[in-house]
Amino acid sequence: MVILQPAKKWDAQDQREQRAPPPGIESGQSPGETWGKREMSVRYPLNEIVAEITRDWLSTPEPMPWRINRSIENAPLPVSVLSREIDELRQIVQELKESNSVLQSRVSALEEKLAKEMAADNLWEISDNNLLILEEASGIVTPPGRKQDPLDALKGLLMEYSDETVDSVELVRSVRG
Amino acid sequence: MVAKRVYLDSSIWVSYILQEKRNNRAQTVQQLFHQIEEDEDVILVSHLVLLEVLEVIRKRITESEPYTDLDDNKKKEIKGKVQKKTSLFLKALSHLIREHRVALIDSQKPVDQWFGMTYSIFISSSGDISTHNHYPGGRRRALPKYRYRGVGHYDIQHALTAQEFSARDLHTFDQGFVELEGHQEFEGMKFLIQVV
Repeated sequence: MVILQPAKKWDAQDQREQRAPPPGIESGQSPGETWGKREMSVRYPLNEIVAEITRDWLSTPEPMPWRINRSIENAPLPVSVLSREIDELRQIVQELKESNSVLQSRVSALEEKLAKEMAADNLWEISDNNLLILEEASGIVTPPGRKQDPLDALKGLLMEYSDETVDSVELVRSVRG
Repeated sequence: MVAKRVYLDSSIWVSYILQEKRNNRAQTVQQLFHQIEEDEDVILVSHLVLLEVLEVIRKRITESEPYTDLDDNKKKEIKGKVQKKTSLFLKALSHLIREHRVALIDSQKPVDQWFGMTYSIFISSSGDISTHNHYPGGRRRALPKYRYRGVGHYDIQHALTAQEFSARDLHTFDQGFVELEGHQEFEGMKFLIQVV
């Protein structure tokens, strides 16, 4: 079965832009008279179109492959030079690793020293602050002035709970878990 | 002259408040306090020590109470005794801190760094394995048992705190600290383990 399918009109715009008319159409033919006919299968028009485009594509000549200059492959490999360079670079990497490690440990030591100095310098500031926290948490207030030396007050504070078998080390271990 | 700083482990405080008779430990502590006072040294107490001592007070009072009955009144009575002694302990300690005879300290290091250091020391210390032949009551066992003895993570943390605050000496009755002696981390600090 033959069906008619409209082809592109060769129109005034084509003329203005100097596009050549398609083959089979004589120039001078008036615009609108470009109806052509194509033979196509009714059932599978899409298959026909794809097949036609594929045929066109296959008939297009392939571009020439890139010409590769292979002369480098023929150059002699400087193996000894490369090996020496690799060895030298490895040596440099090793030295950098070592100096990096030395610097890292120096930085750590200095950081630790700084932290220690700061803690040591601020001893009473830290302690006074901790006392405030302790008083707040325990609800115990210690007004200035005292009746008894606090160290004496601690001596034997738990005397009535002591006996011959008491072992301070074991008691402490029992709470350390 | 800068005052010397000494760190007292929990066992020293527990021995002092209980007036421990074993091996005249209480007397040893008394002499130590005299020396500290005479030299005008500063005693370092960490939060870790404080909490351990408070916990010993709580346990010791509860476990020393003669059994009669266990009801709400008994619990209240025991808790009251614990509260009273805890309060007395804290008041006396607070006075010492206020008078700057004792410094209450805690590590100023970030927690990750703190635990990193603890792990590093813990991993590098392998401890020792021995055998023991007796039950806690003193009865002989049919077969001896292995016993692991080594430095505990608490010991490490006490020592690290002492070191951070430039303690010259760390006093203790606990032999567990022996392993920390000579460890490079604690260079310059003396572990005075009272072997009595």
